[in-house]
Amino acid sequence: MTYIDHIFACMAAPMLIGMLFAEGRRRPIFIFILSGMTACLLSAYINSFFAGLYGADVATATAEITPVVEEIMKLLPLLFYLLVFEPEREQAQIAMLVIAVSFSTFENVCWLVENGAGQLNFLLLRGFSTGAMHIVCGVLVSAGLAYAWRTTWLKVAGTAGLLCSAVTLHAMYNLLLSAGGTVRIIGYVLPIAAALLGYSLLKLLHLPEKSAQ
Amino acid sequence: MVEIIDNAVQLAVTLACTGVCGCFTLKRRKQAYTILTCYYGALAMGNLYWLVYDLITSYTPKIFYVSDLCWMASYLFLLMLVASTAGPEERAFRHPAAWISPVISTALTAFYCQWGDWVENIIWCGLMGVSGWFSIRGCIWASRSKDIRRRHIHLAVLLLIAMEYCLWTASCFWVSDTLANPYFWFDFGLSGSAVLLLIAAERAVGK
Repeated sequence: MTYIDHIFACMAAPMLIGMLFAEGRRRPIFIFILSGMTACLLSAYINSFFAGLYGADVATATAEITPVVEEIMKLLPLLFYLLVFEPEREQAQIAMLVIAVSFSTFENVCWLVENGAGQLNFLLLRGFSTGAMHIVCGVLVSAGLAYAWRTTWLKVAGTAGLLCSAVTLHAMYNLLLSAGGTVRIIGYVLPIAAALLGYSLLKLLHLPEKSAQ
Repeated sequence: MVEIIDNAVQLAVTLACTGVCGCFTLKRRKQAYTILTCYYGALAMGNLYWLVYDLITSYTPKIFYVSDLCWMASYLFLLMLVASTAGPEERAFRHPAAWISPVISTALTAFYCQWGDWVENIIWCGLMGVSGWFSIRGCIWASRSKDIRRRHIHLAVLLLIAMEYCLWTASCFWVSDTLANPYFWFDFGLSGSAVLLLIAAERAVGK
């Protein structure tokens, strides 16, 4: 049994102290890190609840319950930030990125505590793959929201659509990992490839803006 | 096997429609095409997950329907399409016939609740009922104003809704995983309706 609440307390304590010493404008970054980790912690509880409620085994819970719960939980802090503080597009994107990174980091720490850190090669693959998956989903949602929230007619449907895209991507990843052999390797490589593709696309799209400046 | 072929066909159709609509969006910069691209994109993502799940596990999802979330989002986009294409006069127009759609949806919700989840059925039939209301109103309005092109888009949406209802009703009386099952006829019909919607939208909005 993994005491994820204990791990959370241990990891959140330095953040809370650091937040006290951070200046006003730098404080939000600590809040987003904490939000990401809290979302991960709550996701674990909610996943366990639904898995128990439906009597789901690990494979079913991973492929069907976890993606929905985790992506919704990751989106909630960003939605709160967007609705209450109405930030600039860039700030919202950074917020989602930090939430996704901290979510993924906390998930990896819990996984390490449960499974050990003996195999470096596998851990590297897992670390990059899971991290890439959460970041790709986060960037997809934040970049999409930045566009969707500029137009009133796209707000609700756009948010739902983006959330569903992230959930599907996450679910596909979990589904591919639940299979063995080549399919599993494809599952590991898919988010890394998506992250590289997304990074290249973003660079390409930003290039004309920079040259114009 | 038939289910996999059916899903693969639908995935190919929706992916192709997403691509075509995406090109139209970039070329013509029209709101309707953006919504349609999102509609087909969400539909394709749901199909992709369903197909991959079916291929890997050899059965369909049982608990949380990830695909259903995508399909719900797609029908939310469809609702936006029928609501946003209406002009100011059409928006003020009311006709009692439009209420047929919510009435049918309510009756079918009660029927489907015998099998599936209550909340899910209410959301699905609610979306269909409201979309149907907008489409019937749009259809009558287009007929009165002799705007045949706009009438086609509303008819295409109504056809999609009818196909969905037939599909769900057929799924309540599952026969077998063969082509003799009416479920597959309606699912192939749904794929065809999705293409018809694109053609109708191109005629109505593309000019």
